[in-house]
Amino acid sequence: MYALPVYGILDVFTDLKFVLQVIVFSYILFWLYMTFRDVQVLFGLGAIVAAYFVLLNPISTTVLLVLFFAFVLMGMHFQMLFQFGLFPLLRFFGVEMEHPEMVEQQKMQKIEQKLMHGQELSADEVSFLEKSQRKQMDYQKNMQQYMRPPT
Amino acid sequence: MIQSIIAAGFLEWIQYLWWLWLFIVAWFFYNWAREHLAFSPILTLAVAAILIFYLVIEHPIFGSMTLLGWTLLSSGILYLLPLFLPMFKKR
Repeated sequence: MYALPVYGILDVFTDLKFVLQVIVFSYILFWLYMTFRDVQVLFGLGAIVAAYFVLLNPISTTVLLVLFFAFVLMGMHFQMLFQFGLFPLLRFFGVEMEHPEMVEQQKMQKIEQKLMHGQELSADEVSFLEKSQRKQMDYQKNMQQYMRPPT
Repeated sequence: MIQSIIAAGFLEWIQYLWWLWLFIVAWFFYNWAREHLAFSPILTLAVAAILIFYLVIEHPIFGSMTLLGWTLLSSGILYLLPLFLPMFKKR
């Protein structure tokens, strides 16, 4: 901890903190101008309030702005990035991020395609098919029991 | 080997490329300031000066990381990665 200032790491941190504050303040000013372009008084007052928040509560303001940026402005982009970029990559490495029902459906579709083309199923796929068939039979049995008129 | 590289002026070219890259990063920050603070030319210049001083002159690596990271996130490069997975799939 005491070695940090020696290597100038804290200086870099202080500089970047200041730059981040400038960026946050500029961004809030941009948003205020877009919102109150026709009412200059509100823009001026808003700028003062924004400066108060950025100078006196810099961390919470930055966190709020980052959250707003991540969820509101970039939310859709990040969602697509995760769904179509990250999850397929993770699936390749054996980590399943999709909903389990979705995964089962995809597996079933793959098996059906294989059966249609007359390809052989792997042991894993055969056991999956048996399990799902058993599940369906159980479901039907339960349904019949439920539908049976009371004696 | 190294002597021949230096003799061929390779290091000089690397230096020119580095200057060109710094210019591009500086333009990126100036453009950001211009886009977000269009209502005040003086504020644009002030913010651009702060950004360029700290992120290009003082800490060019962090400035470059900002530009590269933003390009990586906002472009479609990351969507493309899973397209190359079938190349590594075991049959």
